[in-house]
Amino acid sequence: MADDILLDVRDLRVSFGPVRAVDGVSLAISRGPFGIALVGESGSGKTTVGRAILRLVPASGGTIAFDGQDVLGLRGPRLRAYRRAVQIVFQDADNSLDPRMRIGATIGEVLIALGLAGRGALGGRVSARVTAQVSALLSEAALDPALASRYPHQLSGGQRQRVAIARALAVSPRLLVLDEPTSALDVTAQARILALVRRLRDERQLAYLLITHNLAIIPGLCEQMVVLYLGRVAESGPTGELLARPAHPYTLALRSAVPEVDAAARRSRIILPSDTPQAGSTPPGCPFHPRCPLAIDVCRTTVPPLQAVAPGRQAACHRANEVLTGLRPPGAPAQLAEDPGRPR
Amino acid sequence: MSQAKLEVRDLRVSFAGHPVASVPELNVDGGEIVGLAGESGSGKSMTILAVLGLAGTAGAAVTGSVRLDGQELIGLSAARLRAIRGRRIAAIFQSPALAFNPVFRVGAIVSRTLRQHGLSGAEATGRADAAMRSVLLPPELLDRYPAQLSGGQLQRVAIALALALRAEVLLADEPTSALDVTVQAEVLELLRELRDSRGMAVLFVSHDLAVIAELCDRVAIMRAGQVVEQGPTGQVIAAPRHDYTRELLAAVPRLGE
Repeated sequence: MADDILLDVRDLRVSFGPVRAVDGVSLAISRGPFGIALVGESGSGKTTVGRAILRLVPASGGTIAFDGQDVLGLRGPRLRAYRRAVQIVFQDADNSLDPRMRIGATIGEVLIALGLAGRGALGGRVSARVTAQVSALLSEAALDPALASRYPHQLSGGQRQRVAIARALAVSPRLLVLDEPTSALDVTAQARILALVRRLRDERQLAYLLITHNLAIIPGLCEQMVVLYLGRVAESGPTGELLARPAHPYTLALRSAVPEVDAAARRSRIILPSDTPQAGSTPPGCPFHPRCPLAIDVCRTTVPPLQAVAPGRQAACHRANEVLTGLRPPGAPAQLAEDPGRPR
Repeated sequence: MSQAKLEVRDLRVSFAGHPVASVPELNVDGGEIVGLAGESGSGKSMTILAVLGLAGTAGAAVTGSVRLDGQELIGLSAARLRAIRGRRIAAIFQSPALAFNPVFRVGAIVSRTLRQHGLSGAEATGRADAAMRSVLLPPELLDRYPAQLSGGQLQRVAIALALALRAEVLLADEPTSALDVTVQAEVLELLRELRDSRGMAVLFVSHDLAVIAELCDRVAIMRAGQVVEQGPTGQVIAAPRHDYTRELLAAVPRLGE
């Protein structure tokens, strides 16, 4: 069982001064091909979890194990080796690609820096071997290899994101952290990026952590999902089951917020009052209770533990079992809750 | 034939002779939300800028007609346009953070805008407070700086500004694309409210047909500067006539799949 786990995050904590951005998050990422989604609003801590996994921000508690080996204590060459195995694609390729470097140099730099393509000179002439590998990577990301001679500003947002993916693939990673990879793109470009991820997953046996606020892009990409709220896991489990029958009112609200093309598929909307409270001013009791349409007295005083609610599923809600069996906020009709294979 | 609140006819926007947006006919009446859908680069935003009389400042040439209650806006002097833009025709954009000067408190930005449009200081304060409440924000937020508000809050302040000026037309250019889905749901609800209870005419630009389907009464689909299809939203979604509309529809992620 444990042999299937590529990355094991347990009770991860990240603090920025007094602010507990991530407050005890656990998740397990299986060996590829495998996708897991980390979902939540701005401020939920999802990006911080991703960065902590890459050791881009220091963890203040918990453990991370990659292939059974401790990650948080890695230093020097072993940290470098880990960072080769785990790559990240950021939301905004405008800021993650150097505007002064041609696409080919941006990708070639990675190959050269890691000694994966023999010797070569960074800004000047690069070896034929690097050029060939860059072309192959661009093709793999469904880009014309001729784009290697262009600068980032000459590409569309979707193309730039593909370049970021090609660059991540250059080191043959085993795990990709995709941090809102399509949020800055329009839906057509988004669809193409998601199709690319799906293809790479199979061709490269990739595992990935997809960080997103949009539940709609998860089905078909991720087997598992974890819902975060104010730095804590609200709910986790297999995607299909969790989306069809949420156990946490926050997941219900996230699901209802997804805009739907088909009128028949539209759920009664649960509008959450006000924006996410700031991490650091976490209220007493359940962190979600001030916005929860189903909150009762116990929610205001006692933090609900994360516990099993169904096989493979956990939720941190005092009323999880009621929600799981169809409890809905007033105004949200119960029959929509079951969601049995909705017509497309 | 009755006259719509906002009427666009044969609008053409071009840069150095190269056409970027062409809209033969588009009406937005009070109490309706009309969608303008298409990918990046399809000409949606240039259409909005042209209606606002701002395309020229971006270096574009604009021909055709944009009428507000029958009054032609194209060719109007800068001074007369300024009296209309912001007051009668308000606009909100994708990135509310860029729409607010970061060195002033939100309230100072709001009240200065209101006073520029002829309100006294006291009137401005009263209207700003009332408008904040109608977008479900505590008026205390006016004392904060833009960086202290979330994207969703800032977008609602931008809408409050339109409300405080009693704008008749609201041009909304991807106003929810940078927001979380939960906050997006809230802003969409607010736009419906403006349409229904205030009779506002809303022109809503988006690349996301799911958002358009939920919000808009009618929709025009743009591609490469041209309107390729338009009609009642339900009809266009249910029975798209143009391949491009089908493509856009296919790209929308669906929870059920």
